[in-house]
Amino acid sequence: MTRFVGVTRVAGVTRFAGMKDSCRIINDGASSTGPMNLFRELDPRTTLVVWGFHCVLLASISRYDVSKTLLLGAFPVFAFLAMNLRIQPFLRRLRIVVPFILLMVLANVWFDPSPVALRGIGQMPSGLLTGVVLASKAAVSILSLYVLEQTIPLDRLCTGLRGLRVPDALVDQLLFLHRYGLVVAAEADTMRRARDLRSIGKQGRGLLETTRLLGTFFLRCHDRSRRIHRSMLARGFSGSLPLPPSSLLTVRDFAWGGTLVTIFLISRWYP
Amino acid sequence: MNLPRISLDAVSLQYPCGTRALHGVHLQISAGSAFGIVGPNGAGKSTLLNMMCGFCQPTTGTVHIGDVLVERRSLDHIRSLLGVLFQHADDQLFQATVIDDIGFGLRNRGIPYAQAESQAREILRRFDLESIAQKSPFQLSSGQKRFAALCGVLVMEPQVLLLDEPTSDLDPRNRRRFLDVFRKLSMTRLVISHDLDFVWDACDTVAILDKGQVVAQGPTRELLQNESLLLQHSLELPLRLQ
Repeated sequence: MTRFVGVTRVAGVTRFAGMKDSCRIINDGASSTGPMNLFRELDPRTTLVVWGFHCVLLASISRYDVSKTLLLGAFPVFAFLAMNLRIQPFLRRLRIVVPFILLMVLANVWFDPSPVALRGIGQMPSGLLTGVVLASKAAVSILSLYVLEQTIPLDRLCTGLRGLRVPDALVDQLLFLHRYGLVVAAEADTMRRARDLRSIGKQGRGLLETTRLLGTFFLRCHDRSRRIHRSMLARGFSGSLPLPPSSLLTVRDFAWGGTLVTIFLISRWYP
Repeated sequence: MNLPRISLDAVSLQYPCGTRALHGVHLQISAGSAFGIVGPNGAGKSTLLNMMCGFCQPTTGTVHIGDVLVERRSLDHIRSLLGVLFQHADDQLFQATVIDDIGFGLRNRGIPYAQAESQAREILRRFDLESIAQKSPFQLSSGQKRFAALCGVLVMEPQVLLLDEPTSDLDPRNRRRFLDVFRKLSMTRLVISHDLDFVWDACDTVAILDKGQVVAQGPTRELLQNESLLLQHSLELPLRLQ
């Protein structure tokens, strides 16, 4: 039953609100309209299992083993090239974590200066070697996550997680994080603009003002989230976000999943 | 189909801090009618709407949608009858794409994903908005957001439609189109608005709310021409009458 007829055309100019990096990063995520490829065609459960396996094996590599780190790193690099992904979003993500990685590398060098002998290179500080492995692992992990994010849209990823029996509470948290991420970024951007427009030089940008701004930001986020929650309740939301149902795994999923996991295992334990 | 009426009987609301938001509100909104509530800022209009949705409970008095009393136990049923268009369309559109957002309520009702999507596409087609189906709500203009939010509400075929400041972010052309859509709806409609011209065009009956009390109620054309009454409650004549 429909109680409205003959709706006329709605005019409106499409525009994109200028948002800062935080928002752009969220928007860089995979879209269902992106170019098709093998990874996107696989069932999300298969993709998740393969990626999970890759992460566990990467974490299990000894802190002195550069070669195996690079060998396992070949997989996300291959996927990155095969999918013809853009490098800038990856570099933006990397830029966020680079200070932390550098800090850890420096701490390694500082606390572990004992020399270690390397075939073909000679001696080098043990801390520097572990630092290099640490930095490589971090870069490979971020690339791997970026490729995963570009491979399947978040909704499909969460469908995959539900299919793997991950508790609903965790999956919903992930979905909310994604949805509200945009909302929070827009709210922060509005507040920043409002402050900037009324700041002269460094006036109004001090620590005290910024602290107050953060406090107000949290209150505004709380208020906004309450309003969004109400609008969800009004449309029948009962605690769990609906997702598309999982489909049956195909032979191709098993074949590709098995092949990739075997390659990872060989890369990890090959002498 | 029997459309429900809305009745508020001696409704009062007092916040824990002691502020009285509503005081002894009596309202009868007949089935299938278009009813407007106008009033100055802080009069309690949005609180009244929240109460009808069950987001807050009255301190005293009762709210009925049809024969159903609005209380915690009946919320699921009440919300299946109501469609609410909130003041800020941004709060209503939170899914990754417009099509996902419009299908959100249907999926919550247990309608299969594919069917929900096809119904969402159908309503977008009716509003000539297919081009925005795959867009992120953040990429829409205010007018498109408002209509997308309306699609998300109407696709659920509510029997009662509650609208909070529906024209606040619309340009004159979109406002006229919104009015056209509104007039063609046949469910019980309640509009809360400062836009007295919109209320003049859209509603049969209107109530003036001030300081949490209904101070006047009657036919729209009669009440909104009473300049002294409007001025007394911080309102002005609709622009067309000025």
